[in-house]
Amino acid sequence: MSANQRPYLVLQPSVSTTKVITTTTTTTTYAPIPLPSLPPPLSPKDPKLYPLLDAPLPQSLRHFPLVFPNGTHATFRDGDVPEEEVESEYVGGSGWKMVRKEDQGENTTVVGLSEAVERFGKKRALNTESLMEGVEVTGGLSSSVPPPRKKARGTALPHISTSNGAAPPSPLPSPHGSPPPETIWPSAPPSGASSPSPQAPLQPDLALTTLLALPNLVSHFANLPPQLQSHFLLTLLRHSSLPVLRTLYSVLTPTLARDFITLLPPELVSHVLSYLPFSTLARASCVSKAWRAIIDSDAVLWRDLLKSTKIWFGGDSEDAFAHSIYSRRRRELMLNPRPTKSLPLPHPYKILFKSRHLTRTRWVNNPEPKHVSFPAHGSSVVTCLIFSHGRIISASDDHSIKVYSPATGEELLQLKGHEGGVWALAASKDTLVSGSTDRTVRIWDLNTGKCTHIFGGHTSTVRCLAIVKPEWVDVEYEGGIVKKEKWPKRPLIVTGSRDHSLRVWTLPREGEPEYRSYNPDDHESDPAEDAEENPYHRLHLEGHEHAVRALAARGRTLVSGSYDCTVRIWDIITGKDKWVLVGHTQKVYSVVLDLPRQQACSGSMDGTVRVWNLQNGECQHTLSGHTSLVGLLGLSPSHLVSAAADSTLRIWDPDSGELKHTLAAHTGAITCFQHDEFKVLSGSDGNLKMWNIRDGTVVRDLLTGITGVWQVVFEGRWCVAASNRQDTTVLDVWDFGTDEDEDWVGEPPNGIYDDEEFSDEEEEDDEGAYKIKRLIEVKRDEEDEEQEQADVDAMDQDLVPSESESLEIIEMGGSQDD
Amino acid sequence: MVLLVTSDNEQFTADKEVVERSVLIKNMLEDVGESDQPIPLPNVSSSVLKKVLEYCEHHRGEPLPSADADQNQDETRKRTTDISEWDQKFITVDQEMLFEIILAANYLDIKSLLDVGCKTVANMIKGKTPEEIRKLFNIVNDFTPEEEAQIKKENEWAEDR
Repeated sequence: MSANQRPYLVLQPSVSTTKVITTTTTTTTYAPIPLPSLPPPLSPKDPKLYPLLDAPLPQSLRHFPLVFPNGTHATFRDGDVPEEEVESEYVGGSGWKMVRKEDQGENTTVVGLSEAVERFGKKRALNTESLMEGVEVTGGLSSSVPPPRKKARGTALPHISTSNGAAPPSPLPSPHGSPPPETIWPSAPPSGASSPSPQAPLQPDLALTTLLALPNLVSHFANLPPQLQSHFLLTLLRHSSLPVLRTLYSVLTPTLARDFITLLPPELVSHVLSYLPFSTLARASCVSKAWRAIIDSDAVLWRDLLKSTKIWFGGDSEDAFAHSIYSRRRRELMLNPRPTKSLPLPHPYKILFKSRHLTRTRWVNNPEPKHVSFPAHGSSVVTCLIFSHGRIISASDDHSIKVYSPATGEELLQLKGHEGGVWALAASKDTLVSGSTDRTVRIWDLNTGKCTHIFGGHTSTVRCLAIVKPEWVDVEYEGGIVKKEKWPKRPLIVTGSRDHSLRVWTLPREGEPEYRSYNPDDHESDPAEDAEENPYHRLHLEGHEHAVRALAARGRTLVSGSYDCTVRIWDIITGKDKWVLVGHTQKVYSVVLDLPRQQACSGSMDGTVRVWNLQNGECQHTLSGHTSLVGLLGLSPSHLVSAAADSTLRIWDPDSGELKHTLAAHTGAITCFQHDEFKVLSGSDGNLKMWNIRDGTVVRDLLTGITGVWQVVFEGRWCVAASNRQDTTVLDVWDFGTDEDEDWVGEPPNGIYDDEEFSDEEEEDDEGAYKIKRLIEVKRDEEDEEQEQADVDAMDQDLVPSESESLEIIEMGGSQDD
Repeated sequence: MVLLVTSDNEQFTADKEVVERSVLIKNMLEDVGESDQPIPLPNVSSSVLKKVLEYCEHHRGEPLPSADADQNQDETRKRTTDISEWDQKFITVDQEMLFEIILAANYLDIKSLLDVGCKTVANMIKGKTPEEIRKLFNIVNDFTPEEEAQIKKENEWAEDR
């Protein structure tokens, strides 16, 4: 209760209906009865000790109806009820006031106050519509009575008993109505009811006497010793009904409540949160800004949750994910600066937890993923399939590459140019790299579909390729000193060919000059010469004695597998071959690189998988079990999976080489597969299966009754498969997300992200950069000349560096290194 | 017997075995050696110390967790919020008292009591809607309607279905 406002009682207007000939309805309004204020605390009180002292009373206790014994309705109001909170409009200012009839509609018993009617006469009775005036009139007319309004404004405690007896229209009760508080309550029942004044609109009763006695009671109570206070209150509580207790509880509880999460020291908050399951944490982060900030930014909390939920994969998968999220945010921030007031973003580990939780649950539990199916590439073999930045990109032996929308199946682009089947594909953001039997490597702009670069050099089919992005890797120096360094300095392309060699190229950046090998159609020219003139060409890696069938590369390490039965490890910066790994007795068909474990794995026609140590070149494990060609290998942080022509897949522990599970439900050679830490998707004759990688069981068949599956890829919520159905090539797309999963951030199954922007500065010391810059200068000169034929000639001259120029460039590069 | 003085200047005596549940006091006693000097506890009020001593008395003689075990427990922390029957009854107090007990247990370094306190808070949060949590801890929802919708969407994935 505010200090300057006293509680008061508002009497309902009394309505008197007199039926004579006509019907006259008379409404009498009364000014509010001021009630005595409660005494202020005797001495200043510590709010910590008296937490309820300033606690606001609930609305229901500041404004509630009372019914007096004679049936009169009144409303108790504690002054500071904001008008809008009061359901109905009340008329009048201070002093007496009446409650409009319609507000009390359900109170059927309306007692006429005949006395009042007579006194106020018909003149006022007509004022039913303008009760405000009525009140004013009340004050004016009843000159014999102290005007209630003035009374209301009176200072200090308007002792109720001083009012003028039973004189109407004052509704105040007779003096009998307010005996000294000491005698009323709680020991003695109020005596007011014994002598009601017939004229008074309300009779003194328990309610009124209690209200009147309250101030004295409070001052008494305040002076009691604490134990007696408790005793007294508890005695009252014993006699309180459930609704009363409930009200009391609702006032008391918030006062004793503590916002533990914002008030406890951070280490204790972490301690509390560590006991909560993720579902509770997700809800709790919706409580308030402070809770969200605390819960969502607690990296340790989400890390521990990932671990205890057994979805912490280790290796560098978590770091890589977090790194990717931060890169993404930086890019979004540059494109679209966030308003300063917007909510802080959650820690990547929370997003990762969500991603993995969804990946684990949705693929298994979503019985009806959205499914789109559409024909593609006629009846040709789909040789490569990738899912990248919301695009499905498929290559075929029909020479074409196509780009589809996963949501609709719409063909977005057709990339035409290769003159042979396309057998290798890799994408980074909007750039696509393809390798073909036509011996060229082509670079495409995925926004326009334009072929921007044609790299010649290989003398036979380009069978495998990879884009190598800069990442922090351990580099060992002499004396065993290991340093963290970022390699390569800018994204590179590595290609492997049936010509027994591999080549390393600079991945052209958007806006860099286009380059086409002179005459891809001219099969007489020497492609090797072409490569020498190509500013994007970096290295030619020779050593294999037969076709290069598979490769994998990260940082500055390249592993290649060849039909010469060897596996080679290269440094793609220097071109040095670090190891020639001999052991397989037949052609090598597949390789994977495991940088965190410093090992590489290879699958061969000899039916074995070998695990090689990158530091000493030794074969650490020979994984045997497959009975024929191991054509496919895949690696996730804790699972190595091999697929063979013997119709089985095998899951191995990459650390120990132990066989975990054999997936043997297919009936033909495994033609394609992909896996992550939860599942394996594999295609073979007739069906596409999903397996649980942790226990080796079949989860479900995604496709059945088809001729064969060419390719399958998945990422996050999406799964794409290319299959052969009665000699028609069909793409199937499944979306395992539900409507709530909009921002489900998937992890790329190979663990390599494609989110980072690479700045120009980092490559300044890079030799390749000089060549490309020279090309830019050449192009600029050409534009000045504005003669197309002359351009070509100029290019010929300028791009063939003399021996000395080449040396110069290398020296410059070297000096920059220092 | 050990003499303890609370923030509100009340004095308590307690058996050494009882107060040594507190690693803080145990270390103090070891540093100071046998002494009649009262130990001041400026961060603990008498009403809270009463509860804390009640807890220590009940659990006297139980082995203290070693520092190593503590580490291991953190590594593979089991997310159980089970509380023994006696502790459950003991910790059934108002939030204000619970808050003070947690702070005191942390200050006095009584790991098991701290666990009981934190588990109790966790149990209060568990299984509740954001609105129920706000109501329980008397927290104002300070999100704008747009923010609230965004946050809700962001966290819908975790709802059990």
